[in-house]
Amino acid sequence: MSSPLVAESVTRRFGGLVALQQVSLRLNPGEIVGLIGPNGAGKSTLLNVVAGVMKPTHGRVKLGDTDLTGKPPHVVAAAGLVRTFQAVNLFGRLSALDNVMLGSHLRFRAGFLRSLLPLNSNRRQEREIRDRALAILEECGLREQAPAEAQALSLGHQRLLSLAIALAAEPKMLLLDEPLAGLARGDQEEVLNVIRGLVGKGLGVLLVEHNMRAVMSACGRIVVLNQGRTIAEGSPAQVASDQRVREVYLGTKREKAASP
Amino acid sequence: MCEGVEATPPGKLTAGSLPLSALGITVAAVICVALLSFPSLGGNNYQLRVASTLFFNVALAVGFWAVYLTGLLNMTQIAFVGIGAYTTAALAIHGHWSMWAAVPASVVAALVVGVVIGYATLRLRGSYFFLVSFAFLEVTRLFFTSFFKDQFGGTNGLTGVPRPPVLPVLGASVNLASPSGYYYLTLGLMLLTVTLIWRIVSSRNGLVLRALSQSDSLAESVGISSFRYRMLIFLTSTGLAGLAGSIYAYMNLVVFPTDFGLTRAVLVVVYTVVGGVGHILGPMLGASVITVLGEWLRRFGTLEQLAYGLVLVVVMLFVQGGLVSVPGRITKGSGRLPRSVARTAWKVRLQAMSSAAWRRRREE
Ligand SMILES: Nc1ncnc2c1ncn2[C@@H]1O[C@H](COP(=O)(O)OP(=O)(O)O)[C@@H](O)[C@H]1O
Ligand SMILES: [Mg+2]
Repeated sequence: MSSPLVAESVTRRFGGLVALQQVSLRLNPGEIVGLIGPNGAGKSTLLNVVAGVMKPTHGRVKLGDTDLTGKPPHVVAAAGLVRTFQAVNLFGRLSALDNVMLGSHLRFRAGFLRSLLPLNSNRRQEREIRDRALAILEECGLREQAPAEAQALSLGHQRLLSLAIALAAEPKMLLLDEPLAGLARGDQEEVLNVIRGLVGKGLGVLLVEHNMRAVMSACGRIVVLNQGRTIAEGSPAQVASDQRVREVYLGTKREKAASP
Repeated sequence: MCEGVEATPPGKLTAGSLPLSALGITVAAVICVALLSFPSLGGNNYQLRVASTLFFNVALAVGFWAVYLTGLLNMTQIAFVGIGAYTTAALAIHGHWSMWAAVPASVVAALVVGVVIGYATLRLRGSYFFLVSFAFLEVTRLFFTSFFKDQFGGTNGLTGVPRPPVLPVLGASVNLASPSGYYYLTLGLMLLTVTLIWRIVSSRNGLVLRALSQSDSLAESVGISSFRYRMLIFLTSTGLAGLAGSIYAYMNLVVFPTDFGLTRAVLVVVYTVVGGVGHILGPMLGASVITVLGEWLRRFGTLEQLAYGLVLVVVMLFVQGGLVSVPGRITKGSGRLPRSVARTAWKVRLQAMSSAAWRRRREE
């Protein structure tokens, strides 16, 4: 259980633009770390580098002793690191249940030839996948939506479904890219409650968020990025009172949301 | 497939694939028996020939559709039919190989080239993959036209493929080189293709294939190797194409480079689009209808091509899910008037084309 996710001085350039400059991050099992920063700070880029969508220009990504630097996304996922996307990303024309069943691919994947045979073990496993997917939908408050096409769901339900898919993959570490964006207060609470429940079970969660209030209430530790650099790290109270953070982040847009 | 799920309509949970019910199996069995006994029930040679073409085209359409499911418009299929046909013809003519050796060798040849082409192209997406696969189709045709002329005969093709043998079947003998022999060969090809592809798409991995056409990045994020699954279905389709090519060589006894060009490749796309991509019955229906229609239209000579075009346009405009979606629409009675659907489709198409004439007409 004691295998933290570690990003070691990750640098990522896009041509001349330095999107990340020597950013280090550590995420332990059972903790929620908030990753905040203004638009364009490099939050999504860090997630993409860690999840294998992009290669870092310099630096390493490790989960425990496993070096994941530059590995393709499906290999990173197999190591136990699963992410969600900032923009809604679902199998739109499949049912919510199918979406979650696909999420459990790693646990239940069947050999291509083996799955073609009319074996009892195949049928039994298919039922197990379905039951588990239904249980996860239930956990995320989506039991009613199981047969609905993913693209027909409300935004709140779509965000919850993204989370359900990621959970079905049984991650050790979960990276969430602005899971609350665009949601009404009530829906935000619903998503946050699901996340809090997970951490109790020993999951590590990296919560990228714009919404200061949510981050302050949910996270034990917060990392602040600005222009590709870490400018502060610490408890919500420490970060909120940090002078530089107030200048670049809180001072600009989110002052009202930050002060209780 | 959906027992134990209350309050959810069945069918929805199987991602568009029909559950393999007892009724389905019965219907399929009855159709198989009818098809198998058709030659002995007095189908004439013309009917048998049309049926062989139909089975062959259905097999191609289903093989194309299987790869299409993963979001790839694969134009290489006909190139692999050509590779299968040329392998068979060359081995049978120059090497005097028997059918039993030449057919598997042709499938293997298609698979070997398929692995190389798959590795080179299956990481490409969308229009990039389409263009590269289209280029491979042309390159293969040019290869058979211009290289190894001693072996492949250049533009003259390969003539004089030995006739397939007479087989003893259950005491009787079936002459494979007869209309009923070709009927059984192509029927076998079609049944093998449809059964294999159906098993794949209705298995758990079929759901993975469908998912790939909708979001690669999400699939990868939960541990699905999109490359691996695309490769598996691509090779399945490619091996079946090689088999089809081998049978093609034995049916026609000659192979020409132009048999395996863009025209045929486009026809397979047309079968699939006209039939509808929502279900395996779509490409089957499309290939059947267009093959029979094509035979019927032959009497009109050059108008045949025009009629193909018209059929395609009409289906695209009025039946956007393809022919296979028609029964569902009628029974579901979705409340939308067919005419209003058609009118909307017209508008959308015309606007998309931003036809100047149409714009002018509106301004008047
Ligand atoms: N694929 C890309 N190509 C070029 N530049 C990119 C790419 N992705 C992100 N960037 C740039 O990197 C910077 C960080 O972006 P991002 O990580 O999305 O920020 P955040 O998620 O914190 O809002 C931005 O300036 C953005 O324009
Ligand atoms: Mg972002």
